Amino acid sequence: MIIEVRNLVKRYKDVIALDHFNMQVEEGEILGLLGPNGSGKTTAINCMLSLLSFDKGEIKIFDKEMTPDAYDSKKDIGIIPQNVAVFHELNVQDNVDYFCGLYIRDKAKRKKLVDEAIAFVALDEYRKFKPGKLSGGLLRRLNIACGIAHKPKLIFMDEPTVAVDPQSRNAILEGIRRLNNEGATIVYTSHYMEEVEELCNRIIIMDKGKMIASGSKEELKANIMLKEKVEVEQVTISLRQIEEIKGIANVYDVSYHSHTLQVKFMEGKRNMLNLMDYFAQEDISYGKVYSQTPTLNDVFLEITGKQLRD
Amino acid sequence: MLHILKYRAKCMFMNRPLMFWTLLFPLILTTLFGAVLRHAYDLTTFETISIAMIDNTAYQKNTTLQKTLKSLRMEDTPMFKVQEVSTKKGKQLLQKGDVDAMITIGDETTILVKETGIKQTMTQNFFDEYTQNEHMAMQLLAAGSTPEQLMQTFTNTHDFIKTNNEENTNLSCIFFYTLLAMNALFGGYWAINSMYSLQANQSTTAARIAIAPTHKGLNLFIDLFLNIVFQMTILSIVFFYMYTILQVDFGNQLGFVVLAIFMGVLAGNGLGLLIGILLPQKDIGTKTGVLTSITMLGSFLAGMMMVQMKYLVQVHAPILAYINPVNMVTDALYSLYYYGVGERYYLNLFSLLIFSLLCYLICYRSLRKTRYQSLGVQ
Repeated sequence: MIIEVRNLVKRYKDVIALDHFNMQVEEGEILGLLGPNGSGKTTAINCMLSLLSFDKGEIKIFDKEMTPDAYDSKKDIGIIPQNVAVFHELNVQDNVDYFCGLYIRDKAKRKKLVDEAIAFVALDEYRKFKPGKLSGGLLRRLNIACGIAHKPKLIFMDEPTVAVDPQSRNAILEGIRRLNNEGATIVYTSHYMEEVEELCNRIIIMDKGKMIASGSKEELKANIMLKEKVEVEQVTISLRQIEEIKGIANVYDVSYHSHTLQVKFMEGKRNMLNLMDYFAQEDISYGKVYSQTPTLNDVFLEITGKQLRD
Repeated sequence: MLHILKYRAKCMFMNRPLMFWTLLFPLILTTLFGAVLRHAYDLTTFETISIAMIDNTAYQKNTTLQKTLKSLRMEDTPMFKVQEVSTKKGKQLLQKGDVDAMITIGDETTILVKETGIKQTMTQNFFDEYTQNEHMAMQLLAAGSTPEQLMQTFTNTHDFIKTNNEENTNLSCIFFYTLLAMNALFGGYWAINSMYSLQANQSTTAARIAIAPTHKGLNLFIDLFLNIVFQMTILSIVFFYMYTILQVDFGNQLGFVVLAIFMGVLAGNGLGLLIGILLPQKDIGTKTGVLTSITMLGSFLAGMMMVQMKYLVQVHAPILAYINPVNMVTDALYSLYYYGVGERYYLNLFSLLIFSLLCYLICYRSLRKTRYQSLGVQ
């Protein structure tokens, strides 16, 4: 086990940030910590990294208790914090070299690792640039290079794509996959469900400091009632018709706003066809029709009763 | 260790705002002071101070004072021109500007002035010292000292002061001493910056360093060492500029001047640490603002903007003089210049040491902390 967190409780005065939080991470996983802002993702990571004190619980990393002076464990950990954490007085190369040097003493070895890290994030042509001269996306890449140059076995990535343009985001996600392919275990926090869905082998959904669900994206989706969501645009229907739609096989929820109808189905066959048949039978005209499988947002919504991005 | 030292030094050297405030700003200010003030208080161009002495019973009985006032000279110029008058006449003379001060001797000596200036300050200095010596003489006599012993004590003191005063007569140097003291305190900027870079509850960069397998104490030690080396280097440049280019008089005991500056740098560093730690959630601009305010206020009270302020604080609010590190450095340099290495110089150094130790002790617990209750900046 790479990480084992048991019954972690963290309070900020009267606010419970982590409420008996549990988490296990296996070697080679990309674990996604998904939750809305304030759900406790960053607090959990900071506790695991021994930056924050906690009230109760146990944290083991690489099967050893994690403490501020657990240097044996720390040398194999990398962090990519949410905010860019580099020195603005140093150029790209010096920044990567400085942070790498906190882990690797051997100068020749370090030089090779620094070159590799800079190449990994494609910042070769910006080596002599100070952070102030880099765009937001390039800064994020420098932030990543500083966290991975020493080739850590475990990498914590705390919302590394916040405020990044789509092109840079894709480059970052691709880089994370490559790191994982090279053997790194990754803990990835985000409130972007699409990223987590795309990247992570296993997902922990957090809310109010608690783990409310965990598993692969398929497992999480399989455990909720929603199996198909049909949305019909530019449709006009009466209250009677809404009630009748609720009676169609497998339908468990119907909502109608601004001439848009949303129908949620449980597991079943011919769900959309049954709805279309009803429209034909009632001679209801309509615009575009979409059928969607559940997303992680639906998982979150069904468990907590609120949107992930609330 | 060398790796961290190299990059932290590079970070400091490349920190343009701090280099400006700690090096360029004091140099600019020094140049301006040099242009405006260097000869402003030169006592070689001393003019006799005209005083109205109220001719009351206490004054008539105090023949020692009368003789002293008549005998005092600055170079070849009499220090005081005394007019013995009634209270009414004295007030008239003062009002018309015919005298610089009106003095009334009694249980308490009162000095009435129409305006403040160097003449008024010197008058006040003289009468304070005289009253103090008179009081000391009374106490010594009451304690059983013989008149010979008493004479010996005052002759020694008088000779000592006279020797130094003959060599060192330029009051404008106080402005430059205050400037050096202010600059020593500005060393606190580096300490604030260190706290920001190394305390995980202040910046993400610090959090990233805290996660690395490097002992926090080592990082702190390197930064504090660099802060002191950097600020001492900067102060040496400013001091060299004052001493050689502007030819500010520091007396002839330069080693002790450097020692006083070093103690000032220690105090500045301690004050910076304290501000950095006591305001962890405030941004670095606010913290440097607090240090600037404290230092500027301290410099004002130490006499940087008007030399009389130093005296007024010492007379009316001495506690401010004892807790003001800018004043401690200024006074150490001032006492060195006027009286040489002595009790007053060492007392200032000791006060600076206590001030620094207090700052470091208050910070110690926070500096040791490796886990935080919250990381507000994250």
